[in-house]
Amino acid sequence: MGLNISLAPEVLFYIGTFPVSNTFFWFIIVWLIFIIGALFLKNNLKMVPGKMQNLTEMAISGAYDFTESIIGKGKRAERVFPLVATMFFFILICNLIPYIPGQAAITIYNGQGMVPLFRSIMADYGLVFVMTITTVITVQIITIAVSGPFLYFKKFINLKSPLKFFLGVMDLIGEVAKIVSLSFRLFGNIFAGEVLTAVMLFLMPFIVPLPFAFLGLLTATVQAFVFSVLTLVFISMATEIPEEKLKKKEKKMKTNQEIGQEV
Amino acid sequence: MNSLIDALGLDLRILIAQFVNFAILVFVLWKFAYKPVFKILEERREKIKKGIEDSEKSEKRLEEAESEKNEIIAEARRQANELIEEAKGKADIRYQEIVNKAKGDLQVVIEDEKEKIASYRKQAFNEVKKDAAILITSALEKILDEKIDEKKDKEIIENIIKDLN
Amino acid sequence: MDIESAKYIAAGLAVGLGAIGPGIGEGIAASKALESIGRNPEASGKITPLMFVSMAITESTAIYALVIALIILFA
Repeated sequence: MGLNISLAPEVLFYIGTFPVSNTFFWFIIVWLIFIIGALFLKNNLKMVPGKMQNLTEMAISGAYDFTESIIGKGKRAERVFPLVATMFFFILICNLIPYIPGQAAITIYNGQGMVPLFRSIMADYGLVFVMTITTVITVQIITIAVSGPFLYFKKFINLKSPLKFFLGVMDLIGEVAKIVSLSFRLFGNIFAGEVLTAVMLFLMPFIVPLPFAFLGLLTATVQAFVFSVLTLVFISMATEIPEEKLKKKEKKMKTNQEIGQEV
Repeated sequence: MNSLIDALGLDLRILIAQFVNFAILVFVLWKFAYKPVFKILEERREKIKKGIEDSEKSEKRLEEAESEKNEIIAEARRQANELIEEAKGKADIRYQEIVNKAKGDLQVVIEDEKEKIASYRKQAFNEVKKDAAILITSALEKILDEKIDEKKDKEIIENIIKDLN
Repeated sequence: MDIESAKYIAAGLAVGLGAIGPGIGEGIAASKALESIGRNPEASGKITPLMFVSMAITESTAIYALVIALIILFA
């Protein structure tokens, strides 16, 4: 039995020409669990909470407090919270599901060969990439909304001096690097965990993989946390008003004051 | 680059499907999980706040009622004392009055009685005098046995009585 | 040495060498964070998330190395 490691998720079956990979399959299952859970929660909210409701409330309000502590109170936190919290809870559950014992052994015949039915959901670069792109697009939109389109493009393309042009190019590269590092961080960690577990199981099935499993559990939680916190940090950085605009505003206020004094 | 994309298993249709799914997930969680939970948390907070305020209020009211009660009791006691004092004073005055009246009445009665006694005594004395005059005359008649003329006799007796007085 | 084996060696070297820096960096970050928690235990709630975030950013270099390795292998 050889070790079969694939960077891409294995395709389970096709619906028409649409390939359903094992990660996509489980993504849909977790997605359904979340949606049904949300609907169930909405219909069963009580003034006097039960145990489950208490737990949910604690998780959500804790997450909200943390969001507020990073991005500041009020409207900003309220707007950003759904995206960030959904990312956190979704990634967390997705990362924890592989630790249900026994599922790694199930394989399925897909027409060409045996493929494992289960794969860690975040070990699918496509999904991670989608979430990263969501973050980056949100950040760009917020930046444009805060600093205005003119200043936004001026940040990247500046022809005033060679140094400024170079810095603008660096900024552009930085944005791309943000996407790459954010997505590959999560993907790399989870995929590496998968591979590590597979290799350890292949080499020594008993006891030895256990410490790695614990490490993987820690990684699963921390990566979910890191991904959402970095998203939050990027967004909160984008919401800060840039210096130039601030200066302009101050000038405007000053002139207004002067006019007011003259009047 | 194409082979890398293949190796990572990227497929535009899957990416779009996942994006749509993720967007729906965010929306559903926001609409059906976060919002209601925040709402109910806020409601509960309000309720607890209200409960605490109410209990504080009722405690205050209880304290007020307590102090009012004490005040009323003190007032009642004071009034009762006053009443008693007043009654006592009135009773004293009345007693004095009654006693004085009784004393006055008694005086009157005593005076009356005294007068009566005096008049009785006078009467008795007069009667005794008359009796004594008759007795004396009869005794003298018997002793002298001979009647001087009546006129002279009467003169003598009157003289004697005058002397007696 | 054919091009295939050179690719494998290059990919292994890229990740291996690229992991050295972040490994040291994350170790320093963790040790400093633990030191400060030991000095001021009440601040652990604030320090721990910040430590994780900074470690995640430190990790970026290793991730770039991983990306390069993947590009070498598959592109």
